This record gives sequence, C-alpha cells and structure tokens, in this order.
Amino acid sequence: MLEIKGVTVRRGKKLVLRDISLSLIRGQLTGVLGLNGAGKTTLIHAILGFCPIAGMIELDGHSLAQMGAKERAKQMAYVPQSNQTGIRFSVEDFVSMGVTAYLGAFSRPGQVEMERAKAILSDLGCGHLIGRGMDKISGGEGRMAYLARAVMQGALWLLLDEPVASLDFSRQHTFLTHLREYVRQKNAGCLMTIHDPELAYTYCDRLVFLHRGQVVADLEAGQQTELGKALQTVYGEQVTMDFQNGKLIMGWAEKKFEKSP
Amino acid sequence: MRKAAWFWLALLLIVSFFVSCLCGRYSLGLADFWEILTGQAAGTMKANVFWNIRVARACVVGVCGAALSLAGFVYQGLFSNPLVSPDVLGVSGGASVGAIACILFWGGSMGLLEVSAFAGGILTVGLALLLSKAIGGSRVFDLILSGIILSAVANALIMAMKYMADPTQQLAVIDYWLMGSFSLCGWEEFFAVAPLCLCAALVLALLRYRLKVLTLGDEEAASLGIAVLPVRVISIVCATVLVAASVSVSGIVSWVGLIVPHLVRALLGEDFEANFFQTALCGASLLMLADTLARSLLPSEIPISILTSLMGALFLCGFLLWRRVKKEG
Repeated sequence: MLEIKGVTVRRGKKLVLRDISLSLIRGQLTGVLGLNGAGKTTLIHAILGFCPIAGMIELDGHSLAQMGAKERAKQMAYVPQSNQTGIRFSVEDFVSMGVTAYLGAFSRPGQVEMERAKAILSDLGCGHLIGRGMDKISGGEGRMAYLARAVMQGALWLLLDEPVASLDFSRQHTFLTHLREYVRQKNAGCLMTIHDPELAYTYCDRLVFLHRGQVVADLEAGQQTELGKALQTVYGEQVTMDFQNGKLIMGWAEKKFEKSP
Repeated sequence: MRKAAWFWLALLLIVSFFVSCLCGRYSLGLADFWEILTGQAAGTMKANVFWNIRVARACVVGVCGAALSLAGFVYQGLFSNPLVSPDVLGVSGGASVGAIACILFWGGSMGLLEVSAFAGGILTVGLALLLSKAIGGSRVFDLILSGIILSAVANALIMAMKYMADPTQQLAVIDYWLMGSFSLCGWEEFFAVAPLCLCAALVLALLRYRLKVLTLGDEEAASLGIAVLPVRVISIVCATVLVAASVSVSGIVSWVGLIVPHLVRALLGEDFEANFFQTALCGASLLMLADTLARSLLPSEIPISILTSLMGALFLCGFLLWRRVKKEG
C-alpha cells in the first residue's frame, strides 16, 4: 500500500499541495484529475522525492524519505510528462535503462538485458521500434518506449504524469489498454495524472480530483452522482455529463452572455 | 562500421605517434628508427633525441589530447549541452590562473603547479554552477553565460598577474605558456601528468554508463536509481583533474575539448559508451598531429593553440555547412 499522509508542498511562497492524504493499493489504476496548476504533477514529484514535503509518504509501512534512489527505483517506475528530446540512444538501449537500479556500482546492461528489452517491446506491440533511434520515432512511439522502460524496471508501482496528453485518439487508447493490462497482470499499483475525464473514467478504477492543491473528491468507478459533483467543482458548472453503454460522455453547456445596457 | 572504427582509430593513433616521433628539426628517417629500435644506435645523439625528447613529448601530447577531449565529452554529457567545453565553462581559464599564480609567486615547481591548476579549475567550475543557478531561467544558456563571465574574470586576473610579472624573466614565460606549448615536455612531465589523468579517466570509464543515464536529466536519472549528486560531483571533479593536469604542463590548448567529441559523433555515430573511448583515442591522435605540425611548419615552433584554434574554427565552420547541405539534400 502507498500511503500519502498529510502531505503539503510549497514552491517558494506558493502552497501547491495542502494536506493531501491518500491510500493507494496495488492492482488498482488511479487517475488524478484537475485543472492546470492544481498540483497533479507536484503530487507525483512529491512521491518520487523530487521536492521537499511536509508530511509522510510510506510504502508498505516504510517511509519513502528513508529510501535511497536505488531502492525507490526498484519499487517505483516513473513516466514523465513529455518525451525527452535529443536522446540519441536506440529504443532498446533506452528501455534497457530500466534495470539500472539492479546493476552493480560500475556495471551496465548486457546482452541479456538487451534481449529482455526487445522482448518487452515486442510484447507491447512495438517490435518495429527495435533498432531505431529514440530521436527518430514519433511522440506516441516514444510514450510506448517509456512504458516499456517502466515495465523493464519491474517496479510494482507506476507513476505516470499525463502519459497520453500528446497522443492522438487511437494511441491514447492503445497506451491505456496496455497500461491497464500490465496493472492487472502484475497486480501493480498505478497513479496517473490525466486531463481527460472520459479516458480516466474508461480506464481507471479510481478517480481522485485535485482542486487548488486539495483533494476534493476520491471516487471508485461507478459512483456516478459523486462524479458529476466532482466534475462541476473542478471544471465549473458548465460541464455536462452523460453515460452511454457505461462510458462517460462529457459536454460543455454554452453560456449566454447578456448584453450590457 | 563500429568494429572498423576501432581499427581505424587504433591505426590513426599508431601512425600519429610514429609521425610525431620521427618528425622534427632533428631529422630521423626510417633507417634511423630501425637502428634505434634494434639497439644499434644506443648511446648516440639520435637515440637520445628519439627516446628522451620525441617519444617523451609524444606521450605527453597524447595523454593531454586524450584528457582534454575526454573532459569535453564528459562536460557535454553532464550538462546536456553540445557547446560546453573546458574553455567555455571557464575551467581552462581558472586552471591557468592557478598555474600562473604558482609561476609568479611560488616558483612554479611541477607538483605545486598541478595542485594550483587543479584548485583554480575546480573553483571555477563550482562558481560557474552556482552562478548559473543564481541567474535562473534557461539552464543551458545560463551555464554558458556563467562560463563566459568567469572566463572574463580569469582573463582579467591573468592580465593583472602579467602586469605584475617581471618583464625580463617571468612575463615571456607566462605569455608563451598561455599560448600553449609542449616544447619543454619530457619524461618528468609525463610521469607527473599520466598517473593523474589515468586515474581520473579510469573513474570516468567506470561511471560512463551512469553518465549516459544522467543525459536524460536529473529527475529521470534519479527515478531509474542513479545517485545523481555524487555521480555529477565525482564526474566534474575527474573532468577538471583531466583539464588541470593538461593545463599544468602545456598551458592552454584551445578547442580540443569542444571539437573532438563532435567530430567523433559525426564520423562514428552516437553511441555514448563507445564514443567515450573513441573520443580519447581521437583526441590523442589529433593533438599529436597538431603538435607535429606546430614543430615542423616553420623554422621556429608555433604555439599549439594557434593551430588548434584555427583548425577547430575551420572544422566547426565546415561541419555546420556540411550539416546544412545534408539537411537540404
């Protein structure tokens, strides 16, 4: 279990996260939604130890603050918000970096790790990326390479920061389908920030809404009434929602602006 | 291609060394070389010139070429910036300040010169990092700016020390030293520089995979299990040792640290870990060839930075033009 207890994060004078408390379990895909600047990325960074926090984050009862980088990397894999540009490694070379935490002080990935990286890419339907440079593939393919690297890391917790934000419609669904399969098969825990409530509702087991640095709703999939309230709290009263065949359909009510006298 | 690259690099190194040992004002031909090698010329002037001057100097030049190139490669990887080099970061300038201060105030003995050069170099790198953080904004741009500022400060200090120097004795030594030259380098300088450079290069070689992961950025590297700060600090210290050791025996040798890594990547492809060793080999070879030219072009020896700066600038210009033609083609 990943327990976030009373976490507060400040950046300069600004309070970005206020007293966040969440308990996440393995086997569950949790989506974090909110407006830009709500603190979604900061939440992920706080868990990864990228920023100082007040409060406590524990993994299976052990404080993350006491964990070194290697131990943390064995427990948690991170997919950042955007692909790095200018990476000139091959895709399998990039994926093989997932084993870094398991290597000795001066060791490097060998042939075994490379073959495993290629196998993971093939399993994810990305065998065609083998041998290509990371700077020569598309954004969507790059996202899949990041997912493959996270899989290679063998961590039981995945932290993804808006993994599908820059992907086209079909690639969004492909990526999230693979992610959900991985979470189910490995009984992994997954925390993902995501902008699209429709995608979040389709693929996530649990939805957490952040608004102005605070958790305003923490829902299981299926809690439709509470979902409506949370969406309107975060995105405004113009948000409309409907359900069709179990899928969330979002809309935006047009506001009539009255002419001033 | 990769295996062929290693063969050609090794051949280039051997040929460069060979040419460096045979070429010079004291003429040595292939027959002389054979006699020296087989011991037939033992105790003669040509054997003395060969072993104690040419070979010694070639060894120093090779070590310094490898050291400067490797330092440039490591800096470019560490700071994810292809324009970074020991010159741009101000390391060469800082090391020069340390070395010139040693010549001016403390007699300039070899051991003290190396320590002073190292202290100057590491202080400059530290200040460049602190200043770039203080400036804020774009990381890459600010690091270059900080390096430029500190290079300017180093140049000011160097000019001040030249102003204070004895014009009949110290000034000429300092001036010539600043232009870079291996003319006074022999076995003493080799045994002073080589162990330091070898240790620093060995540590960097052991860390090269971690350096490669660090090119992804601190956050990603940390998420993959890299201890970012220790690896960065150790790598910067080792790269600075390489620069400072080289500067302490030869003065400033410009452009090698910037150009050689790019040349290797352009000609041999981008494979970080292979490029690490290839950069060192290529740097050693090219500097030996440049030093041979510096000794042979004119009756008197040209300071090597004149050649490396000219060659470096021409190469960069040609490379940028070629790259543009390739893109448009």
